[in-house]
Amino acid sequence: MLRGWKTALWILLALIGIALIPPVTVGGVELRRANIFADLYRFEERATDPATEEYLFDETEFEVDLEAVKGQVEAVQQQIAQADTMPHEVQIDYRWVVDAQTATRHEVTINPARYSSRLTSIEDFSAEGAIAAFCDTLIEANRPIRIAVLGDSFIEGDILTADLRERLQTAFGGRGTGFTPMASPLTGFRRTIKTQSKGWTAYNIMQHKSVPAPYNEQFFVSGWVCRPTDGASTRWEATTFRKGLDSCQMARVLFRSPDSSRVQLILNDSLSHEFSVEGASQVRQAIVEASAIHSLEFKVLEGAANMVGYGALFGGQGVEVDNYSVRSNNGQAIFRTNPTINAEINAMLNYDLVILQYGLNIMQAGVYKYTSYGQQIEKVITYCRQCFPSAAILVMGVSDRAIKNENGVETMDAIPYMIDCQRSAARNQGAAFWSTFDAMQAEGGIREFVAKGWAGKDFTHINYGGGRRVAWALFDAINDEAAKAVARRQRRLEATKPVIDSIEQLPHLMKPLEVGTPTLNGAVQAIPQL
Amino acid sequence: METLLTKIQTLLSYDPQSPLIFSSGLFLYLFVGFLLGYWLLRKTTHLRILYVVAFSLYFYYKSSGLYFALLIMAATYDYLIGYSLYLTKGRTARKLLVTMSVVMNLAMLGYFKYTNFLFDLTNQLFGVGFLDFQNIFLPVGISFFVFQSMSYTIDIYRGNLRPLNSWFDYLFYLSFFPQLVAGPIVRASNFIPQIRRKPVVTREMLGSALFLILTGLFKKAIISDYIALNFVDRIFDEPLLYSGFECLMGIYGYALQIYCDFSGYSDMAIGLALLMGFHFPKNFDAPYRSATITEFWRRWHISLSSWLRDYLYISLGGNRKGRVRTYLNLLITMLLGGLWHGAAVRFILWGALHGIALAVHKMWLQVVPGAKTLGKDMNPVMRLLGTLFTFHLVCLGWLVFRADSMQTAGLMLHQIFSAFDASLIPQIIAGYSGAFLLLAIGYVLHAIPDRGDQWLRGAITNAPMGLQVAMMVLMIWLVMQVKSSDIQPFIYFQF
Repeated sequence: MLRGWKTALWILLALIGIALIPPVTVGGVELRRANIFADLYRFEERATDPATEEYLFDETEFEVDLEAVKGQVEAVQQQIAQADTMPHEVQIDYRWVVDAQTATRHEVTINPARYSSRLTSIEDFSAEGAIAAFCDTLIEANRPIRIAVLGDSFIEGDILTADLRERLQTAFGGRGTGFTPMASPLTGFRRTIKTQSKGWTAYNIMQHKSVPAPYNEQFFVSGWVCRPTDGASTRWEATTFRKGLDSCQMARVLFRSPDSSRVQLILNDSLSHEFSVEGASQVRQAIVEASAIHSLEFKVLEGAANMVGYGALFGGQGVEVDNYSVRSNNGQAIFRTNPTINAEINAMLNYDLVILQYGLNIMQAGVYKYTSYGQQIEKVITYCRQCFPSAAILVMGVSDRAIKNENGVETMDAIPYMIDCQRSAARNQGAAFWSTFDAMQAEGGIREFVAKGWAGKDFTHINYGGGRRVAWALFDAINDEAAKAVARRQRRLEATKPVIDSIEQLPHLMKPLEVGTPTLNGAVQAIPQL
Repeated sequence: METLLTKIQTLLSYDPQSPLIFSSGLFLYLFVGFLLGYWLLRKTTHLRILYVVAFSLYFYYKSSGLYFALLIMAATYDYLIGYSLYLTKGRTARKLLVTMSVVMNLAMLGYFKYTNFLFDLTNQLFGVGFLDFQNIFLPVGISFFVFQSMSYTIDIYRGNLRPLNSWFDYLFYLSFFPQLVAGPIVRASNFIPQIRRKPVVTREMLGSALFLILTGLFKKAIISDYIALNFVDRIFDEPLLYSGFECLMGIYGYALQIYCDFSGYSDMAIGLALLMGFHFPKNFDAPYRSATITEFWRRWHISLSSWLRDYLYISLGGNRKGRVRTYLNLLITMLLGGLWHGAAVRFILWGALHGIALAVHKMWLQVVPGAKTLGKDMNPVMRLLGTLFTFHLVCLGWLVFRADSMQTAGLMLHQIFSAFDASLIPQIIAGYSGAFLLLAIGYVLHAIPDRGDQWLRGAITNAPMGLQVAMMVLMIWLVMQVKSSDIQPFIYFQF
């Protein structure tokens, strides 16, 4: 038995000796310090020289000539401006009205209740107050408000956007799941809509080098182009995964049909409608309006040869949030999209806000300098401005991410540097910035997210549960800005309000609430008709 | 200095988030100190027993706080009941006493382990709010020590065991720290004779102990922990993000993970007990080499399956009451065995699957002439086929056991059967090279015949102390490297 104890003692002594050996790299393999008493004493590891960012991404893969983009976008805008005064040369919209929609946005009320533990405010660096202007539109406009969220695998499958949409639609009206691609290997993962695709070949923008021409030149910001065969079809079915998704009043399918084609829409598996589409280069939309769209099928009956399908958008009145996630994208993939196509689609959708969620795919432990990446983000902002000129731009800072080392699981050291880079890019380009990291920290950070089952064990990717918390924090930030917009509106109205000098005016004040007359605390407050 | 003292105090205090597990640094310091005291007290039985009880109770306190009082409580009433049983001659009174012991033990287990589950079920059946949720702490290892304690009173009732004369001895048995939190479930009849025996650790015992601790560490802290974090968990979390091949490997991975986790920890417990001169029976015997489901249950968690057989299946009538009752008894035993693993419907379903499989196999043995129970009695082809079939049946059980819902289990199967995508296999293996390497090592080692184990055990036993120390240090160093290694990032192969 003594031998057993001696063995154990020697093991302990040897391990204490080993704990003094600093981390070393042997044959390219990094060996960590094996610190047996890490619970009691942690060694200050000598900081290695921060790695440079050169090898992190290839700038040349996604080169962009922003002047050329500007030219292309202006050409589309010119065409559209002309179309306002004279009809398009070709038909762009193919509309099928099942029930005429008369519904307007539901009344907007601001509920000051917070969904997150601590408010993480939006920092707006724009000279014109773009976020304030967006919120003015959000509370006042009697038209759909459309938000695009461009991101990477962090939001794949409608993670985060599902809950941002739910909260925004609950607060400001609206239904439907927004954009969903025609086909992709990931549609099964998305729980906010069910997609069944047949006869489509889906090409992803990240593999643009292997995508055959001319499909490699036809990407929209969704990152997918889908090539049909005759008879190809996609059926989308609403789900109840989040509130307001089970039905909507308007759906549109985006496609290009350079040759003449025939397409069919089948609504709720019962009604169908065919369109003959004249061949033209522009992006077209097949629109259906109905009181309750539960499912929609799009079929290519003829003319599939050069056709391209993008996807469908489900919505109607109120707020529509579109998830455009491209895994492994650091933001630069947008430069491989076609500016003409982006501008043509924006002319149909008219984005009010574009949110950029990138950075996870670039950030690496030990890398503290992201100057080149910051320049790329600035280009991405400029690119988005050109393609979506009416939209405010909001840059989401990189999310919390942890790595494992001899001290256990720790927040990645590069995060503050990446956030600085993203915030500077937003500041330099006059965009807005919102710190996802701060919002996650307020809920306990990524370790807490993993412990609560809100994030994956890679300590990087959140799931729907984590997406909900981040979305709620972002909603709180937007809602906070919306509350300020309401206050501004009230001040504006009060400044121009005539003095009530007659009792006869009282019945007028008792009128029901008008659309777009929000109040700060949700109480119904009638605004005099001036 | 004060900070260091505070840290030591925090480290030694109750923390439900960091129980005192065998693969932790703290356990090593404490065990080295403990072993010295144990050696010094080897000749003073009473003091030695007190010393071990005190250490065991501290060990339990570290993970469950004041709930160590439960251990003392269980030890007290079962000791008293055991003694009363021995003194009582009347059949009815004896029945009453043993029933009292079983009821008290099951009530304790039921309250701590199944109350929330029961409330959840009733709320699902009768609507939320029918019963309010209670915040009930689950004391670590309660399922193990409750079963151990029941084996004591039932054995005395059956006349197979004489009760202990000392309450301290009984507390020693129930709280003995090596098997306290994760088994094996050591029978009173096996353990009690060893309590007062002068502890002797021969060179062979030391060699076996080091072998068991080495392999246990490798299985638990290297294979199981690594593949769980870097491969298996993420697939079960979001099956639709992965191809069918990855999902299938996720299930194979989980089969290896749970085996390595459970058997590795058991092996370390058996090894630590050996270092103190206690012999525990084998708990796992290469279960995935089983050619039938019956054989699997003779090789998997043997201390539990034999407990269930002796105290539940036989109490229900076993195979003495006709064929139908035999099948029914098997099903009930396995259903309850499933529930023992955790308070969730999925564990009951897992138990049901094994119960049905065992009953069907029993029927098969009766109906098919020449059908065998054990692989060693079969011809090589039948044995191979039987092993593959049994392994996949067990994997199906693990799928139900691990998936957080039937929906997740269904999605895993959906991916395997409709999105297998064999073309991705080379990329997936290259992408998850660490996990696949450990998977391969784990299954290859599992397939190596017992003589391989015997050879390694002998080599360690005969090695000089320096080499034994070096092997242990190397293994612990490896464990620490794996523990602090980078997390495998997500790799996307679908396009």
